[in-house]
Amino acid sequence: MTGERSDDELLRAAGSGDRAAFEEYYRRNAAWLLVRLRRRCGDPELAADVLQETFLAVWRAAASYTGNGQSGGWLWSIATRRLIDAHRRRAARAQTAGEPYEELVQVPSAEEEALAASVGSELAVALDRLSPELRAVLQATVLDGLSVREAAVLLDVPEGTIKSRARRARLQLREALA
Amino acid sequence: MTWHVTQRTARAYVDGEVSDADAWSVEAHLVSCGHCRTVVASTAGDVGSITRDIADGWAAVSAGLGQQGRVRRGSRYREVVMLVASGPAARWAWLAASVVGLALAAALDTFAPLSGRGDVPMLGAVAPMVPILGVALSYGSGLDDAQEIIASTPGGGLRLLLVRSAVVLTTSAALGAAAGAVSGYGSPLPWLLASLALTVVTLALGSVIGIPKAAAVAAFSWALGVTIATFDTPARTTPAALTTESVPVWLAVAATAALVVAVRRSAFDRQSVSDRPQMEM
Repeated sequence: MTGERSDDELLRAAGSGDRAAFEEYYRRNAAWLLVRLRRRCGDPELAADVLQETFLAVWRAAASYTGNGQSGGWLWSIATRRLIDAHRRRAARAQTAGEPYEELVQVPSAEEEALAASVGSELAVALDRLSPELRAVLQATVLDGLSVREAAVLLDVPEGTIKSRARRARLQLREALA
Repeated sequence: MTWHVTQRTARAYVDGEVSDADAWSVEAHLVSCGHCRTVVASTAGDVGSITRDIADGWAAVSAGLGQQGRVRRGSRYREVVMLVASGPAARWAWLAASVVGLALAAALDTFAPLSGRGDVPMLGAVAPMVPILGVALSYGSGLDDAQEIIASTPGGGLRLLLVRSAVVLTTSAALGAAAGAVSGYGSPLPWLLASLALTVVTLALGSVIGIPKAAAVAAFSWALGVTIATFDTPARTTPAALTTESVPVWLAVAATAALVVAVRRSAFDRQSVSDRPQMEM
């Protein structure tokens, strides 16, 4: 690990056409992005497609990155746009390959319960008590920072439903944490 | 940042065996922590499907790397250039008209001086109208394609108007001075100040009736005034408005009008764009 460059520096270099820097940036960031995308769309193939589209977009737009230590959020915001575009295309083609967010419908494992207990158990328990639909809405709007319209595309439900579920999820969390 | 994702949590996260609460913590943290991103990357190194997708992904991405977008950084200079350049009507059409008009006036002065009863320096009579028309064309005339967008920005009011007026004034002053030098016109100071005063009057009046109408009124009044003055002055002399005697008067007019603009500056934030010519679809 000699001459380690930060993600910011790599992006700037990539912005001026440095392919080696871009490859290094890819090696460093593809993994977490892929894992997060997989958690979002429940279809590893789609996640891999979105990963590629995201990094192609990053290459094109690298010069426009002006942040300081915000490259993670920048990358994720590009990825969410690509993910939503992918969902739109899929909806237009009227194909349904797997429920979105189907990962969330799984039964918590023993290890999960143990982990949940170790980190902020109150919030974890409260989150676990939410129905998968409510959690998915909360995740899309709060954690991923999507708009109601984008979340509606991603979760494949009407915008009104997103709004009411978000409201309900917040209410339930507030009660549970009070 | 002191909190970092533990090896155990990273493992569980990569394997998809982590509770939502922990996953959310990890994801929110990864966005801002380069160190933990590399931890997750190395943890994912021994998950076959992930390394395969990443390797395939790189093959596809590196093969598809095309032209990079051209990004020009914003700067004070570019800001002004954009502001000026977005007044399309004040660019070539106005510039060409000004050059031709001034050249004709200078030619008349040189080769066939008009004299009614008084001496009429055509250049002095024409030059002050050039910037007024330039200002009218560059702001609020409905000829600017970006007008609706500009009207909705914080800088679209007086600031933009002043920037464009300054550009127009500088250009027309340079053109007029050049024409004057070529035709052997006397001191350019009187009509330069007249230009300035008339432009500021246009702005002041424009705060009430809109720039295009104000420009029309100012230009017409000037033309009328010069014509009357020509017949009103004794033979072989220049109208007072175009001699150095008028300098303090023009300065006073400009200062008064500038004061009016300053007082009424908020009026420019509500410029109506309704007089824009309708586009045919």
